[in-house]
Amino acid sequence: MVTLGFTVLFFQVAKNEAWLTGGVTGLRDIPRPSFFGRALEQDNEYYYVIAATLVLASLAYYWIVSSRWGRAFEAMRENEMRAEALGINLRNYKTTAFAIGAAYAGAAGALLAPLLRYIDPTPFTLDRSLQFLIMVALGGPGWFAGPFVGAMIVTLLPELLRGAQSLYMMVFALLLILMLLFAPRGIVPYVVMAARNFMLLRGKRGDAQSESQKPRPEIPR
Amino acid sequence: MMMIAKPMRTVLRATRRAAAAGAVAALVAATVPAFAQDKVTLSVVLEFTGAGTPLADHFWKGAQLARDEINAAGGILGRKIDLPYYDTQSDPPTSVAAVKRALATDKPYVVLGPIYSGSTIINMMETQAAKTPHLVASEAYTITGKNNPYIFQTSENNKVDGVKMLRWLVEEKKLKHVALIYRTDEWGVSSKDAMLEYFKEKGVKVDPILAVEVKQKDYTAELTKVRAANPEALIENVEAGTAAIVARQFNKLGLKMIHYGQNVCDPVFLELAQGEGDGTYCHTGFIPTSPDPAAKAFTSAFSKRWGKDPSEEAYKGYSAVYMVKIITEKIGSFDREKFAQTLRGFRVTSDLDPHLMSAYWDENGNFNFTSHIAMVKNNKYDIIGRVKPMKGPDSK
Repeated sequence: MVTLGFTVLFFQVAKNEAWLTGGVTGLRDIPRPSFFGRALEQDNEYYYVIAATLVLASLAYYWIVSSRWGRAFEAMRENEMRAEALGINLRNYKTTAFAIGAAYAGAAGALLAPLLRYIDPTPFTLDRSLQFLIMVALGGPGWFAGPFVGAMIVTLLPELLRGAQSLYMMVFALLLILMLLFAPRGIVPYVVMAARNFMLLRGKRGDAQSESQKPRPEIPR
Repeated sequence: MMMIAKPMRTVLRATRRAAAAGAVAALVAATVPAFAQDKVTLSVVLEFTGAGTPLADHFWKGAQLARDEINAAGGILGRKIDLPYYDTQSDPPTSVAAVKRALATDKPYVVLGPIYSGSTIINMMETQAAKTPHLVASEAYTITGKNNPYIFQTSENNKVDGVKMLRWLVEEKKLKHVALIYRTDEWGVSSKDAMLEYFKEKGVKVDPILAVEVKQKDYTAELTKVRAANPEALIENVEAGTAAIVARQFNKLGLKMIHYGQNVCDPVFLELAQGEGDGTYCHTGFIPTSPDPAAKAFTSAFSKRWGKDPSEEAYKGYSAVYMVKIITEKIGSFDREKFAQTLRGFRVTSDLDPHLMSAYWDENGNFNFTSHIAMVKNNKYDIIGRVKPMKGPDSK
């Protein structure tokens, strides 16, 4: 709640402190970064900077998720009390998680401003924060591929539903409700489950004798 | 003989098939460029979803009407108009992505839209870089002040619009003290700045000056402050839909002053105000009850096609597509550079095309035409007067 409240506060400050942020008219003519003296004016060139940053950020993210920190975050997500009983300092880890999230958002913002060559307070509304939350919820929280899949769906779905025009928001909301009803843990765990089932079925054909020894498929956590 | 003839027949059959396939391929190859040459692409970038949907709906319907009328009459220089569309989701950064996609996918002759000034101010850099003419429905005067040779507005900017109305209010109603409520976005703030400049020049006291959120739905606090200050008039520039809420709360709080809403001349206001907007003044370029023959014909065609009265946004969409036709036929080719050069300082009259009201684009892409001052009466627009353009041949 405090984070959401902070978003609203930040939006108001960004809108009103024109000397710093340009106010509602924003900051214009933000230059693109240079690479060995070459300004990345073309979108195609700047795309590679974004792609490289994505790869580096993903590697760091993978390291975090599979490290001791990642396991602590996972334990906190599953059961805070149990995690604390195991010796995890909840306050420290929650602050760390917040700082990591903020660092990623900051990096994304630093890439967005030169891409658009303009920045104004509009992208900092609560709507955008909720959109990010939807991306994570759709993809599968706690899964490495979750935010990637969620971001792709939320970004590409409007394009796919372009023909629906103003009905798009209704169709999008309906799809979202259906997904949360039938895949409440996000899409990625179900895809993984389907893949495991498929592998098990293949194994069953090959080795019917050892069927009883194989684990039953279940939704991965 | 038989031993030789059979392979020969096979070879002949294969040759015939290859020739037929080649002929079909050649036909397809010849047809595809011919088909591509048969159309002219005008990419439409609009607020199909989000807060700007009611405005975009009218613009899009107006553009479609013009497309169908022009295509039925043979198109532009023999080419049919194609209007692929992209959604900005009423969000400025998304609008940049939409324009980039439109430019990359369609290689359009002209880009039409969007409506939100906050979106246009950043996505027009893309069309400028691609040297593609860009006809927008956005009205912030800051847009045409950027020395962008490819940007053109399709209605008077908010500075001209505000000053025309305020001049009438100050001169006719002898106002000395007004209250101002403005919305905090590119359009609202630039409009407020232009109004304050005018009031300062005329020595009119402006108190209180109140900023409101674009998505705000309750104006009781602001209107209570206005009531306490007791000005002679309330001037506000919130969107048409929210202006209806202001009008309702204005009546509820028993405010008796003059009320001028900069976006009240829009059928959306009448739909939502349902009689509560009576007595509100507004100023607009296009209004469905305009006596102008071109406006009358457009209103009739639009109502027949879509079952409702058009707004100014609808006329912008309609006139933008017709302007592409007029300018292209004048230059005689689909040359983007020539198009942009020709539209600067161009005057269109009903004689040139009966579908359009007389208008003039200045050297910066600003639009000028005779506008209307109206008052809402019995939930309809009662035209009080018409105001000459501030610039161009018709201004005298």
